[in-house]
Amino acid sequence: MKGAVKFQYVTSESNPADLQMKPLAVPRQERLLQLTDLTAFGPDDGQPEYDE
Amino acid sequence: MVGSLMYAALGSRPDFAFSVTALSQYNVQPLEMHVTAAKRVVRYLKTTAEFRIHYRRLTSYPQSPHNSPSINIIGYTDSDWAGNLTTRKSVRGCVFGLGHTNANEELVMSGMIHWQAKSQSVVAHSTLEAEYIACSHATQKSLWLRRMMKEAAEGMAVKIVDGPVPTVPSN
Repeated sequence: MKGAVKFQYVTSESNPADLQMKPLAVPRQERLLQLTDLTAFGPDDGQPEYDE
Repeated sequence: MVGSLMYAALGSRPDFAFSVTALSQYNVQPLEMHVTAAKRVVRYLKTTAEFRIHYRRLTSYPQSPHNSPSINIIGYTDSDWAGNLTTRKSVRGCVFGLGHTNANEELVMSGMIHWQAKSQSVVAHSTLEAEYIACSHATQKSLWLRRMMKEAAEGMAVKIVDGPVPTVPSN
């Protein structure tokens, strides 16, 4: 499967894998969580997947 | 208590998986400080109870030429060179999610589908070697994930992108 994976390099500041590696300060943890789309989501924020 | 936290961390809350992994190392003979730390994680969980992994609507994914949503997989890896001072082994971590395009037409991660932190089986002699090992494992994982998703999406109006899986190691 040659060429099946494309590599890019990022700094540690914007690497969400750091969430799994070390304890992070609150601002950085929040930023990484936003990058991975893991944020607060209230019961009224949802949308139906398909319109009626 | 740690077992219950582990359930959440493995299933839907990767944000405190590191804390639970660290706590679970003291399951056999926990001290008062470990119970205090576990209670702190529970307090964090209580204040962030509304946190969810967002899996976006299919319409937010790039459309393929056949007008079906094209989903890509994007992954990030990192390693902690000689993080274990006793064995000098490194820990590798990776996070994978579904890729979607944002307003700037950049491919970014949305819902996470896999996350893992694991001690490497060999002793790396440099940060480069530790990162390379982590990257190699993440590459294998990304190909496996894509193959599995392609099988799961067979017969559905979703296309799993055949092109490169963007895997992003740390510098």
